[in-house]
Amino acid sequence: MLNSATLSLEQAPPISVPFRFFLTAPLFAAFAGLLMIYYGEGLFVSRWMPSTLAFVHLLTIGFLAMVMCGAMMQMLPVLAGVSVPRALLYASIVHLFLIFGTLFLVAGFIYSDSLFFTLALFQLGVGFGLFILLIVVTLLRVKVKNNTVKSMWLAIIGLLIAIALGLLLAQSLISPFDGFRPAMMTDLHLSWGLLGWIGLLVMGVAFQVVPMFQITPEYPQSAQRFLPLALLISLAVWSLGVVYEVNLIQELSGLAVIIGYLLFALSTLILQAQRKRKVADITLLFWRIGMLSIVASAVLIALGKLFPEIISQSEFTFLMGGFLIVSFALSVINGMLYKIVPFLTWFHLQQRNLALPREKRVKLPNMKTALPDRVARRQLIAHITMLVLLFAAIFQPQWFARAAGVALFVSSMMLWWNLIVVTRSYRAYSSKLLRRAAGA
Amino acid sequence: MEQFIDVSKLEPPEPLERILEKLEALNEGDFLSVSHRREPIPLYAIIQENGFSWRCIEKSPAHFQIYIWRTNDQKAEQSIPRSR
Repeated sequence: MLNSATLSLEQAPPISVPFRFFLTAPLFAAFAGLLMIYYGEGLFVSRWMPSTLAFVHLLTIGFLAMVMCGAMMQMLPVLAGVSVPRALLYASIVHLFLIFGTLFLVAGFIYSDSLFFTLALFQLGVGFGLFILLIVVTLLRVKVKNNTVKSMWLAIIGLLIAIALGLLLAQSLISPFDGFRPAMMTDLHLSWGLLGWIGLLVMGVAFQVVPMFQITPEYPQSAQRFLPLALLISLAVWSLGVVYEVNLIQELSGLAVIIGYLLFALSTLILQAQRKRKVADITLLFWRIGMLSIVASAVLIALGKLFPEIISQSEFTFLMGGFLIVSFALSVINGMLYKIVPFLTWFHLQQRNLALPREKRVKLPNMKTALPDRVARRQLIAHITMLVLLFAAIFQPQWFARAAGVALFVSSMMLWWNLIVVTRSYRAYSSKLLRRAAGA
Repeated sequence: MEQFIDVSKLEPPEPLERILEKLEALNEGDFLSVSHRREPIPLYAIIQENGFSWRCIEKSPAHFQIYIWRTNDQKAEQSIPRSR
């Protein structure tokens, strides 16, 4: 115990490692908003429209994966007591390759250009490949095998599969190969990306972060231990059912995946209802939206089973995507940023402050003053407005699509600005500490 | 003598902040008894660097009692309750 404890502080990477990812991500979401303003109802014609695919990848890679990569590189050392080797150098490479890879991918979709796809394939392949390698090497050295670490293993497997399938799909757009089934591969790719990678990572992080920051009871031990693994196995079995076209296997394993995520969402909602501290909390509200979206998507699938004719309609697909990508993943990650960014700021300042001799120490600000709740609340309202407009746009794109784009742009820029405000307060105190250390 | 603080209902990093404040004011022969809902791993590294030692007793999965004293203060160390 003592060893892991002493490691956790020393092993934390420089604050610029996670922050470069966190401060880039909202800009990609804002870019997605601009794309929606530009294309309007054109984005809602079909999930196969190139502009729609560009929009989705700005959110999934540009925002979601961007934050997740930063968070993992930061969290793993602190939780698991090991450092990511050469964190600063590798973080810069992964960060740059993800930025350019996403931009080239978006350009590839919009201009249907194989040169852009080739560049995207290379950049994203190297960026994600290096990231996966780093995390695997780090995970192999972990001494404390807690449930979050186990979920990270599973999530990284999910990412590996999602990326491999994505690269194959990109390759098929550059030069189609025989016997390739793009529609099936796309379903597998998005299922692994959303339910294998993002879903499992959110779950693993939730096991730690929900009880810790939202002051709830712990998740049941059995859920922490078995749920992520059960989900990954079900997803793998489901994929085999899809590839070999065995209907019964698809149905049963698909049901297992839905039940698994429902259990997670409902237990999170129940835990949050048992909070010890009743003060309203912005992150909690973002998480509630996210968990209710999982429930909503399960209800939607149940409706699809009862009325099979609705499944083939494009609204059904867009609702599923809206629930899982935007109102689940985007909300949860957005909310999480409001906890981890101020916390990391405080944590790094505190560490440096305590390294000073006692008489030189500075009185650090309370975490809440770096970003007051009312400021974050305004962004939450913008986010909810965006969700309402987005779901309205699925049914009436010609009325609501552009308004939803504006709301996405505004909400993302507000998030970005709020994170910039915290970073500035970090800089101010950081230079104060430097001056103190220099003897002032 | 025992100084007591309950941080079990506070949001991070408040438990850490409150504990460090209390430790600053700890007198010779005193120890701090902290009631927490989880084991505060990051705290250990900080207090160790500042010359404190600790003992943590898990009373239940959601109740940890942590005793902290100055490493060279034997009087304080001896007055700490033994683990069960």
